[in-house]
Amino acid sequence: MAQNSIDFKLKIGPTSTADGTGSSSTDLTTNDSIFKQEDADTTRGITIGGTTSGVDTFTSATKVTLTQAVSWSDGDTVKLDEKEVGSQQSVTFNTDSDVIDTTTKDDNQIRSILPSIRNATVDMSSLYVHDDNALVDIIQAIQEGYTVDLTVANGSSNNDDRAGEGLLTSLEVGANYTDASTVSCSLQLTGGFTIS
Amino acid sequence: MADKGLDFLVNVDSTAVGSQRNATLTFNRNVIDVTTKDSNEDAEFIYGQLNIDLVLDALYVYNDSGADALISAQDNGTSVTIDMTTGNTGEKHFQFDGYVTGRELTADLGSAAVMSVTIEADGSLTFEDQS
Repeated sequence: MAQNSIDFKLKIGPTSTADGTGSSSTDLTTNDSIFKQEDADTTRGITIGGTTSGVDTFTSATKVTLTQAVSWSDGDTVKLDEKEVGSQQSVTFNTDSDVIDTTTKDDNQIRSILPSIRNATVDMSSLYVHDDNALVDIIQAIQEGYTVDLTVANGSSNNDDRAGEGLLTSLEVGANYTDASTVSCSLQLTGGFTIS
Repeated sequence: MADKGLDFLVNVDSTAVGSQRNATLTFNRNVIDVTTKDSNEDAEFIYGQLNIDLVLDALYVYNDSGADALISAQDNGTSVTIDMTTGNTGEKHFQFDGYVTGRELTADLGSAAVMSVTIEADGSLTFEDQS
């Protein structure tokens, strides 16, 4: 049976790397400005290396105080929990595969190909909501140049969430006098994606 | 709740452009392909250059100080500070310094005269809470 498109929603989580080591520490510094103090949402968890913690305080754009002591190495991956972009209206997950033409004279004038590099992008449009933290993540990500974990989640239980790491390649904020303010953006996935 | 487009005003050096209709703020960031034989046939990218511009549409109003600021900035090649804001304390606003790189005055029969101005950012943009 066809599935309603409202079940598919984009979720975003900023990613960076740890700046320096931590030994049973609660004070974490990242190499990218993935935390914005004024957007403090301490309900979001954080993963350093493979260890998950809560957030006690966002102290600056690159510093956070954790709720529990964690150990990490310099350069370990830091991921803020993904959050759904509010007021979404449309999301598109595009996958293209290059092909290598292997046609020869032996192919009876019928094209022969092999699959090559796989490339994926995501396009999303939403209404602009000034206090939506995921939208703030998107706007900060393209500005600051940090990558995000993204999932186009299928809200049903069909187990076909598409997830990967993305770079923001374009973002448009529209403020037309007859409409709601809008945001549209495009993300380039890097390193493939999973379906689970 | 979604914000209305009409609540955003574009200010030029702290002066609102009169008779605004539409504003579109665009970010474009290039990506650099770093796919190799180790990439398992999945494309890999890193960030490249970021370009930011704003296109403002308004009715053309003679002697409007905001519009005049944009016109003189282009004619003199001087920088302007652009602030796209609701003006509400605690809500985020977009602010950047840039140059006017295009302006268009259109006077069609049966319509109000309109202008469209493009401002390209010089450097980064701040996206912070309005104080």
